Amino acid sequence: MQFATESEVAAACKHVRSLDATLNQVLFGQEELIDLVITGLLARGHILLEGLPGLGKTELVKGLSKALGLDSKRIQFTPDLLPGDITGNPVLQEKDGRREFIFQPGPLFTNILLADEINRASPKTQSAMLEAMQERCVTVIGTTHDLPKPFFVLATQNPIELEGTYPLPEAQLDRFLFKLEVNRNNVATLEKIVNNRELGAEPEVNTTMDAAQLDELLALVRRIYLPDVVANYIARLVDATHPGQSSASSGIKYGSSPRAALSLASAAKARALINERTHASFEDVKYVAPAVLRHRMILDYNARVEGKTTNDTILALLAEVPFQAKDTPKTMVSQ
Amino acid sequence: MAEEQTWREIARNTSRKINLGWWLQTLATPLLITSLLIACAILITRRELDMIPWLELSAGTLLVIAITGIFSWLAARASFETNKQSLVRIEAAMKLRNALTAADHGIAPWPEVPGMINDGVHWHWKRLLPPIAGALLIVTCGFIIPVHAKADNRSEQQEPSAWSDIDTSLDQLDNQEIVQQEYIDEMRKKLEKLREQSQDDWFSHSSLEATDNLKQNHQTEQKNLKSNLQRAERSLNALQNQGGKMNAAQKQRLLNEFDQAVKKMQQGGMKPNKKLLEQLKKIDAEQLNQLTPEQMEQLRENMRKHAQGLGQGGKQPGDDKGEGEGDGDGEEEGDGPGRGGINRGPGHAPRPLGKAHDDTGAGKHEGLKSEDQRNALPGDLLGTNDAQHDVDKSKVGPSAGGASSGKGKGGDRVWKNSLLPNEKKALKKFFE
Repeated sequence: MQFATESEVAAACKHVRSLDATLNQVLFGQEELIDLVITGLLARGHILLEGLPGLGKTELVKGLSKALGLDSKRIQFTPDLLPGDITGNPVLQEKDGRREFIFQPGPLFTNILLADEINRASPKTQSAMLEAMQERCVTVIGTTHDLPKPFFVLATQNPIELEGTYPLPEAQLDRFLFKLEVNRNNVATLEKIVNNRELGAEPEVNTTMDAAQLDELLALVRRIYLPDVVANYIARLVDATHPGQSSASSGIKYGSSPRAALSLASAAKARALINERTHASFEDVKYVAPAVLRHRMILDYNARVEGKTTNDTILALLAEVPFQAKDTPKTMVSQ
Repeated sequence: MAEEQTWREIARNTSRKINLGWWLQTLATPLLITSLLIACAILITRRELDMIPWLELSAGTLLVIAITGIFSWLAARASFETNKQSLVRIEAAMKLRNALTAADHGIAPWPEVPGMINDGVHWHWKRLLPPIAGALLIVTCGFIIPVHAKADNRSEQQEPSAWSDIDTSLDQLDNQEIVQQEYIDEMRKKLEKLREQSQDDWFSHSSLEATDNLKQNHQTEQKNLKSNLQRAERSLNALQNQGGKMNAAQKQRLLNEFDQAVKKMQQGGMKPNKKLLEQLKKIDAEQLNQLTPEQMEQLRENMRKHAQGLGQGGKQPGDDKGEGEGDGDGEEEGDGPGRGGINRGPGHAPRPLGKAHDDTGAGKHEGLKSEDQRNALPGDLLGTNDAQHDVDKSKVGPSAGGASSGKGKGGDRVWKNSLLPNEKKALKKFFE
């Protein structure tokens, strides 16, 4: 494989910076969130946004679709939503004097899908998302329909309203590249929002790239060089999430899957491109690790009772697992 | 190119440093064990040899340590770090975002070399120094701990004093040529046999027993020879001085005595020297009268000297009191230990409490009374006392079941039978 060159990366970076600037005009004070959303996008991953209502999750998705010049749709998940409501249904139509079923695509057939409050949907409907997210296709009555490319799911869930919700199954959570926490804004950001936005009015968003350019970017991310030592670090980090494999994993019941390792590698490459580098690094892995791993680990009962979170565990893991695989002799001290 | 060379040189230095650390870690335990063995070897060598070969010892020590170092290096090789791994260590420590690894693979250019290089590790002196210092200390102890060579110990250990006494006595007899050389040689042979034992056994029970036996035999032989010589000399003296006045029977008795004394001398273990023995053998008891007074006097003088020589030989420290006492002229009296000072004469020591009382109290009767009650015998009246029994006068009468018979005072123990078993248990537990 031909690795990305510096000139290619530099050219791609201009588009990325432009997208970043545009999204920062849509959502104030969420630079890190926007950074990670772009990273997830370049890594071809789906993103789960968790945060309280009104923090701008929907605005971000809308802004992203406009900035990329892509089609976007929104599904408001409710308990009575049926799989067919999102995948689409065959409709009986008369054509040339004959009646036949014509597939009527559902809202899944879009480039960027905003799955709002995804945890309110029934498990049946949630599972309908699985194939779409992983295979990027939908099978209805035995017929498989490809979803448009690119296809991204940006799902949201409310962490405090648990009544009438169906927690996402682990298999589906594993399909999300990132789980991002949308934090509340500080006073300065709120002041900026008040001064620059009107209630009900949508911000103007310029298109920064088209679908073809995005495709090129996505292809370039795949050509970013992932050094063996970084791949080894990813492997050791994911392995350390399993119980008994590290001291930091003491409160973990189930560790992360190999898909987590792939996600880390992909996200690290995307991160390298954003930072205008032709190769991924330890620091890239470290930066994306919380977003990649926090929804891929299950804590045991004791850890949850003690108030331990997966974020705490990930930080401990990152502190425990060294970059280099080789140990340091006991006659020396690592800095 | 310059950057690449510089970075590779830095990586090489780092890997050397790390590998040295691995080697020292692997070396620590074997070095301590080896140094202990070396110290033991040095101590043993110093103990066994009179002349300590310092050069060889030092060279041997260095050689063994070098061999240990080589084996540790071979064992540590599995953990050694390559230059590429050191590059990773450096880029991780200097937050170079894997620029060195990428450059090494030709993906990105080599970054500029900063002024300060941080390889991310430094020596852990507290862990590094103790084994090395300990090993040095142990080996140094091997050289400086005071150890006496075995040969020195042997020379310092004193043999039993009886051996030197016998030796002195034999030397004396040998010098004065009083007794035959065979006896002296035989005795010396026996003495040497005792000395040939291990030094540890010199003072063993059997060795001391043998020594004592040898010494007693020697003394007995000396005593017998002296006694026989004196008897023969007395007989001759009597024959020479009073031979004219004696009747035949008396003369014969003296001649027989002389003859017996000579025979005993010939048969004894310690024989007089050959010259004297030959002289005595030549003298026939019947021809004794034919000797001239001068010859007789010379013979007597010869025997007296020999007897005196044997008497001196008996004057050894530790000899029993009265050795030869009464047999001769009393010269030996008082030679032995244990007689005490010159003022210690016979009689009783003066009474320290004065003269004994004349009235011994005979015929008087006194009753014995035991004042000490501990020694009182059964049936003895120790004393009388006017007192009443301590009787509990509180009224106690029949009461209904479950009712408390007494109200009790503060702190009194009140027991109610109406309590449930669990309550009883709790109450009992509380007061226990």
